[in-house]
Amino acid sequence: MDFWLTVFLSASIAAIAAIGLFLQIRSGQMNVGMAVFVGVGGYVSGALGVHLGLPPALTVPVAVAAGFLFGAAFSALTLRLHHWFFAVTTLTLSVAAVSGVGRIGIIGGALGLTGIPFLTHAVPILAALVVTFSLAWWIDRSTVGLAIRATGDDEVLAQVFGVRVRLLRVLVFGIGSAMAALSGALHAHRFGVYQPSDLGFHTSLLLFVYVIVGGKTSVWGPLVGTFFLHLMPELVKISPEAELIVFGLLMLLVAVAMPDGVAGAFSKGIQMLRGGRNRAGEAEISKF
Amino acid sequence: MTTIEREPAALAVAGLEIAYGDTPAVRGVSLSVGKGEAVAVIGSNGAGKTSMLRGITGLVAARHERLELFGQSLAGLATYRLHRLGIGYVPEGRELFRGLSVEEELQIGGRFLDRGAYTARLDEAFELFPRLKERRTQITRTMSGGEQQMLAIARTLMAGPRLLLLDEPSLGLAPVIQDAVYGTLEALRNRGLSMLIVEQNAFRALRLASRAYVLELGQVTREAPSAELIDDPAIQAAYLGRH
Amino acid sequence: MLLQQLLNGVLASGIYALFAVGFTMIFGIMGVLNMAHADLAVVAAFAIVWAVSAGFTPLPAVLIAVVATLGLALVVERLAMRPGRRFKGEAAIEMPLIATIGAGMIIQNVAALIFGNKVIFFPWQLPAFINIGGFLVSQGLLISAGVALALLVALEILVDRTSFGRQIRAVAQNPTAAKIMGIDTNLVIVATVALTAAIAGIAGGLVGLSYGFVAPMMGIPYAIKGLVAMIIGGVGSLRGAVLGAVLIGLVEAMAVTWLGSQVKDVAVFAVLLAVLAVKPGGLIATPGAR
Repeated sequence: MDFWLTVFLSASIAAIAAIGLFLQIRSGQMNVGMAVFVGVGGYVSGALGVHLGLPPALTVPVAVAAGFLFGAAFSALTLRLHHWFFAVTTLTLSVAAVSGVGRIGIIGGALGLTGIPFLTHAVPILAALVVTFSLAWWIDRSTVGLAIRATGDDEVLAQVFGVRVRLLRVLVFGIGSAMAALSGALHAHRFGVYQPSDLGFHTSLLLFVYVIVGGKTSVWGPLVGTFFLHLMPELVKISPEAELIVFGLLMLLVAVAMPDGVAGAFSKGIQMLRGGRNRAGEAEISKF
Repeated sequence: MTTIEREPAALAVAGLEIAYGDTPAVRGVSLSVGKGEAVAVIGSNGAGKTSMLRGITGLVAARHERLELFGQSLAGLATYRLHRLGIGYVPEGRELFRGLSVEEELQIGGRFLDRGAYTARLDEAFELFPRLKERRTQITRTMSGGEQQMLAIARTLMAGPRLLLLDEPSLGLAPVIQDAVYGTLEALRNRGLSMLIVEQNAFRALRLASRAYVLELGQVTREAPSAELIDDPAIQAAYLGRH
Repeated sequence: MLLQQLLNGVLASGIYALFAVGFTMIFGIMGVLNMAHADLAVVAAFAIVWAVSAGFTPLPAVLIAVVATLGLALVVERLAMRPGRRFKGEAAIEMPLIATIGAGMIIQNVAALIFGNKVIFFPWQLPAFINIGGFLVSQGLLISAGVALALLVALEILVDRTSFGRQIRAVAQNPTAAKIMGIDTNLVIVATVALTAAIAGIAGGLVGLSYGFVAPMMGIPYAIKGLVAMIIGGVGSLRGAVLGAVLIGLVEAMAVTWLGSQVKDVAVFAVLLAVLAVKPGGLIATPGAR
């Protein structure tokens, strides 16, 4: 019982970051280095706790604000980069961050930051997930969401229709990064440590996989993806390598045949059961 | 059984249909180009002229009852195969390679030739278009529209085509340059090269061709000798009024 | 000390350049970054590790590596890259990005499953150092750089002077015109993928030869260096890719000398940002590039 609670809480914390990444990808910013933005939260909240002795209730909000500023600044600096180049830049950032943070003594250097005050209770974690999900849901559904999707789908078109593309990109990336920072802070307070390797390629890749496999066309995607990919390996019990092979296969499958991911396939399946092909076709259209 | 020896047409098209989604662009077009014949297709903007050529060459999906080059069926062939079968296609907007030099474009056109034949063809091409010889090493993107059009024709001639498909060869060119391009096409016609030429600039095309089709909203509405169409008041009003 | 490090940096950049030209050629011809490209080096290296341990002599071992690398490259092209060309707009970029990341994960972890997720000694090594004019130079790295240089020169000649090279450039610049001019674009793309895979495979062998060991995850740092080299050099330009690779090698060397070896990756990122800030199109901008 305790084991499943642990898995569930890990998935909840990861899902918060995945939802943030979903918003970023939705706005056309293919962030393959999300672990860095998660790490901003972990290190800020952790360091404030360690060095100033402040409680998580104070440091987590500061970390979220720091995450927003860091993300917005990064996005503003890389506004000219599109698609592939943005992906490569974030990937490079993720790898560079591991060695870079390892040099900074005040946050523990290569050994990591230890002695972070604990906050292991399930309630704040779940509350954070609910708030994050609701905010993302509202953003995605509102007119702002429509504009975000427009920037993701066709930037020139979005510009023609008067969306202030630049501001929106920066804002959405900042909000996504704030969510990532929240996730990182919760992670730091749950385990009491934060390490440079947490910022690396592996973590970034996993978050990316959660969103893509879950589905990047609805807020349910990152939630379903994260929980599905956390629970599945525990149920099947395979080696970490085999697990990543399965994840890789799922990525291929989604890319080639299931662009809406697991969540998309699931909702389509339900609609098929409920109302046959006709309804499913309607749902397809109503998404836009 | 005896068959009557009759030379097949250079190009025979029957029942060509092209649609973009639910919108039909070409609706049941049939036409033919005899061996050594120059045939024009005239029509207004959006009549389906370019789509028709793209359908014939397989660049867009098309249905047809018959599509033959000198009696050989082209059905189901990928676009790239037509070049070696002897179709020289000069598309709308020339479609040059942005970063190749004049000579490299010509080398692409003549890459199946042996060295001797290649040199001979290159000399022929430079004879037809002396300007290209001067610009041999120039990157094509930096050339004038007329030079680009000449190169687009020259590179297809390198392979020694049996049929030339030309899409708006005068588009965007100054009248003097149009004269030069059409002068060359006339010379090619006089050498017996079969050609199908699609033009908005109907007057020039009709003077080059012996026969013409009028295309309206994706359908052939008229087929007649060029001389007849040039003198026809209805055609004059619709297509020859200004250019 | 600095000169010594700079020399090492230039020699190491030979291998980076081999990856960078692969990325840039595939991007030029398909408009796709093959995120699994550097993992082909892992395939080649581990095919050799396996073949040698199974008792094969060098020549058949290399043949096995060639077949495995090219075969897998063609599978990745067919499954992960080609379907993306059907799409338009954003999907044409997302789909191959996701698919090739997936393919890379599969390759890395299959290798890790079979050989263990750890560093493995390469059967052929050139660990000796030779003294050239007072500088200590790794024999393996010197040979790597020599092989890389020869390959890059051959590649430049191939692309610039041969009919196949002209066809590659033609397809990259205007696929429609290429078809009209009788070029089988799919065939040229597949041939280009095979060519770049062969280069990546050789690079994998050179890594083993120079450093003495290989690892299932070694493709990731090389992918990053290759990609960054391509971007800072100017996408679509072979010379730009090589220039970018040398720049990365030098910057890494300087970072190691002045700031310690951990800062290498930070320096690469800093160079990327700096070049993108000053010249977003890369140092050598190609008009033909997308």
